[in-house]
Amino acid sequence: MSQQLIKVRPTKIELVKLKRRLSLSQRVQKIVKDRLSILTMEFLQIARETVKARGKLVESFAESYKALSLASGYHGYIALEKELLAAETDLSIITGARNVAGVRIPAFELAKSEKAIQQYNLADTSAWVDRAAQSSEKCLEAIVELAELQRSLELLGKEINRAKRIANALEYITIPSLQATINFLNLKFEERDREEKTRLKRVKILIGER
Amino acid sequence: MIPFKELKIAVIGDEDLLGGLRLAGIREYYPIANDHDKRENVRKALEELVKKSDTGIIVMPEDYLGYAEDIVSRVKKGNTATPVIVEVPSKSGTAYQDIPGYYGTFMRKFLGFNVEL
Repeated sequence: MSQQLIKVRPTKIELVKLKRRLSLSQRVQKIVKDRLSILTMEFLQIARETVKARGKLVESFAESYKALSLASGYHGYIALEKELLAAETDLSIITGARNVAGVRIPAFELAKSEKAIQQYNLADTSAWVDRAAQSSEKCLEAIVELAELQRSLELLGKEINRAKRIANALEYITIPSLQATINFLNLKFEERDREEKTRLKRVKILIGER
Repeated sequence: MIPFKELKIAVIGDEDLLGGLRLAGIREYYPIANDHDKRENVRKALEELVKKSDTGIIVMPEDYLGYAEDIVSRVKKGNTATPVIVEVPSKSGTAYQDIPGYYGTFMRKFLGFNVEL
């Protein structure tokens, strides 16, 4: 396997520099590999949780649709629309971030609004609406949870790809070419030594002949 | 530490989806009528939401993914944490019956190998 040699002047100084670069790259390689394994572990963990969260979401939506269709069947769409308008609140999520091996992954939390009682007209509506509202809130929680996990998964995945590229470049290109160049320089110096020796011998003979 | 932000949840969807989530308290919603402008309307609403800086989560039915694939993949490729587009099942059920399988493809794409979840 022929490696790309780095073009340097064949001097001892360059050799020392190359050796330094090699040890640095090896250290970096170790760090990158560690980081990659941390990221991978985190990724798998989150992937497992995401699968669970997605399952929960699908389940709660099935329930919610059922409850809502019962409620709208009981009250009629128009009457329900009126309640819906009343039920709207300024819902928001609080976002933060968590740091996993240099990747910022988001953390979402539903800001619990201080609605102790339902906003819609309780006297005017049936238990079906209450049921629908409850299951919808569950949906909302599932959405927020899934959003956090899914985004984390995407961000981590991208970072894993990047880290992998760096690790591969170090392992298969940078380090071998450094090693090859160092090897080449060593051979060159040995060759130069031998040349020097023969030249000395030759000169000695020439002097002896005189 | 990283500053905390308060962001909104927005929903793009049909009557059924909106009905439930409005009952849960969502105020920001984009109703999509079931007519032949559906595709344009979905894309317009999504573009608008993505541009807004205070959108945290965009909820939309799985069926709409086909209408706006380029926008969704652009958002997914972005480096910022938000907005996040969450696809939820529509009234007729979910397209992802096989949830571990769905995330399995994800994993193969990023890790290069498959792990049983």
